[in-house]
Amino acid sequence: MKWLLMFTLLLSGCVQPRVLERQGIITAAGFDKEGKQYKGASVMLSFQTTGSSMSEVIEATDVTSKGVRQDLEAQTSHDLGSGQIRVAVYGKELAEKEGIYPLTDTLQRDANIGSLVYLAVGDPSAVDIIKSKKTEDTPDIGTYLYRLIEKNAKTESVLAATLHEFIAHYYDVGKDPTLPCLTLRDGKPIIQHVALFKGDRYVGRASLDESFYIKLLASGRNVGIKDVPLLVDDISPLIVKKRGKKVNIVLNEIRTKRNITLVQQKPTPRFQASIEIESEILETSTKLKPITKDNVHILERAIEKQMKKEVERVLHKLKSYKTDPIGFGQIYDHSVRKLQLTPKQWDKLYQDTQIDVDVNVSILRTGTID
Amino acid sequence: MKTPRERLSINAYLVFFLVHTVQIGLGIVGVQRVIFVEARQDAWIAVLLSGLWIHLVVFVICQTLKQTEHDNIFSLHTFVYGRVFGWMVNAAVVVYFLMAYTSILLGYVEMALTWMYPDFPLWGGALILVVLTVYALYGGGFRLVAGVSFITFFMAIWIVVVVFQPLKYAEWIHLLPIFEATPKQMANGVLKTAYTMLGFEVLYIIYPFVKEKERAHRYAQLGVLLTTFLVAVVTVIAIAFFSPKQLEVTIWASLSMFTIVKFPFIERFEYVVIPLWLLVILPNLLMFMWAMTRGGKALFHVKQKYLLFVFGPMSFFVAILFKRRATINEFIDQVGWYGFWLSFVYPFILYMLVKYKAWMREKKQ
Repeated sequence: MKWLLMFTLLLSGCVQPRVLERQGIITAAGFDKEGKQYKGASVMLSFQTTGSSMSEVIEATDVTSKGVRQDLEAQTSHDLGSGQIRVAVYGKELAEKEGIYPLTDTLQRDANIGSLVYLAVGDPSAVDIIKSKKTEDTPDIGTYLYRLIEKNAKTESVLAATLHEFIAHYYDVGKDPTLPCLTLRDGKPIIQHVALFKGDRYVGRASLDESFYIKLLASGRNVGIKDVPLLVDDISPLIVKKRGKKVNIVLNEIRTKRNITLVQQKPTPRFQASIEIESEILETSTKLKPITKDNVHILERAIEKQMKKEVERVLHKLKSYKTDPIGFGQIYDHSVRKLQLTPKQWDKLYQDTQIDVDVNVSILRTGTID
Repeated sequence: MKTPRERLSINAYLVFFLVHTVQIGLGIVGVQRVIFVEARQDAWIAVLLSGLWIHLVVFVICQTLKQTEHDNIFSLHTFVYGRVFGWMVNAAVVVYFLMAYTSILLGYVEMALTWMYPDFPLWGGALILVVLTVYALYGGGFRLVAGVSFITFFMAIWIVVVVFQPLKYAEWIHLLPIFEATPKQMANGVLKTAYTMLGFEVLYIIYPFVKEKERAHRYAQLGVLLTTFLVAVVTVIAIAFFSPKQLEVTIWASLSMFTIVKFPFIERFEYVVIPLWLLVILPNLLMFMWAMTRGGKALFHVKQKYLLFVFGPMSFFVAILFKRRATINEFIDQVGWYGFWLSFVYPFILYMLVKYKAWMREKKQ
């Protein structure tokens, strides 16, 4: 028995050791397609015995996406480890022409990679974004992109974009994924748009302003700050001095409730979407009269009117792209008994879907002044 | 067969831990997909139905055993079917335990290799587990099995708290509409829960070892209740967490959900869960191996200890025949199907046969 135990202990040495200094830890990867060639780049973080760490970008080009991986491996003396990958960026052209599911499949299949990897679209190129040297105070681009997306998804109007959510929405009938769209400004990657997908294909983009409503309707989660332009005529009792046609009000969302129900199934689906926003005013572009109990409703109604208009515009835009990131199809599928909705069926129904929007805004606070 | 000596018997409350830990094992890690394929979003109802059914089965098992109090399934078989035919049925039961043991062995090793050690050989993992079981049972015996299930229960139950973390990403709409599954789909769903819920049939063998027999039944029911509850919870969470088509392709849904869990001090929680899961399957391995040798004793009249060295290597060699994920899957399905008939259906038949035989004997006298 003792011998057997000894043997068992010895066996544990069979697993390949991983020496930290020999590891090249990939923190971000980017994929592009140029013509017929795939282009890939990844940021490799390696640790030196002196104590500091070093990040380096390696690039490769090949005719298949798997070939890129091999080429990357051939370019370094370190063992490439994918367990710490934070962000995967896909070029716009690649996402538009081929779809990114085959590439995300690799991430998903690999047990080393967690489900909380962020995905993003690089406009126009993913490799350029990975190659960017401007990373604020973080040691490498992977960590910078991760924090950038994390912050914006948590508190601002970018929809969450983890691998898990992308895959879940890709598979869900009647719900399409969205990803943050990264662009370079003065060589620094920023989020300027939200990329809209149909299945795994990029179909268009929405501004962050539009994305506010998409996120609001899709998840009801924290959506952050919203600038609402109001017509002066709508809030005339509040105006001190009339100047210009529009007044901009910046709202900070405190709590949101949204509710989407299917009210009519035949002949065409009809949804009732109601949004209740509790908010505070952060900024007004012109001086307003003090906002009190008596006149706050004027402002609230004006904001509601404007928001309703904007929501309807966004919904129209989504329809024209034939994408459904809010998940009306999902609600349809799960509200109707004995129905296995297919993507094709929903594509057809979606175009005729009618969505009634009802916005209810209440202003809880106006900052430290009225 | 005589009631085992006092020294070898266990307290009734341990039946709770024995039944519960032998039920919970490998199945719960990936059961969601299997049921979901059959019963869709009503999968969790299938789990509850299956749980209800098991409560009934446990009741029947205890009723069967109550009649003599010192019989186990093997001596009952000899009583009901006679010497020759009974021997064959007993052999079939032992083969079932061997299959169950091997499937757990394989399933766990495969999981550990996929997630943690891709270049470690399968036979190495299997060998470690077989040696561990043989070593533990050689020195211990039944009371050790009871002790291990008691301790590992408390060492692993806290994982339940973490299961709720993925709820952040849950979309409850996936559960609607409720009761959409047809009776046929539901029945298939219940059938597919079998592998996960199996294990309570060891009651047939441990019952004679319980000191306070009248309380064993109650504790067995409690163990089953907890199992059903846990399996139902992970099923509901998985349905909400994954989208339908995604769940259909996720092999270890519970583990994949753990990839969401993140603590400031540990980033990848599944690397904690997988080694810890050895504690969860250890009672299964020990219990099934012990049950196997107990059956072997009835078959060949050899000391249980020596049989360890027969059944241990045997399951090892069966295990290393498998290489591919697909065949392992098929094997596990097979065990589930076999186990379904043995544990979900057969107890009723056995109960009636025992009743009938006892009645016949009385009439003769």
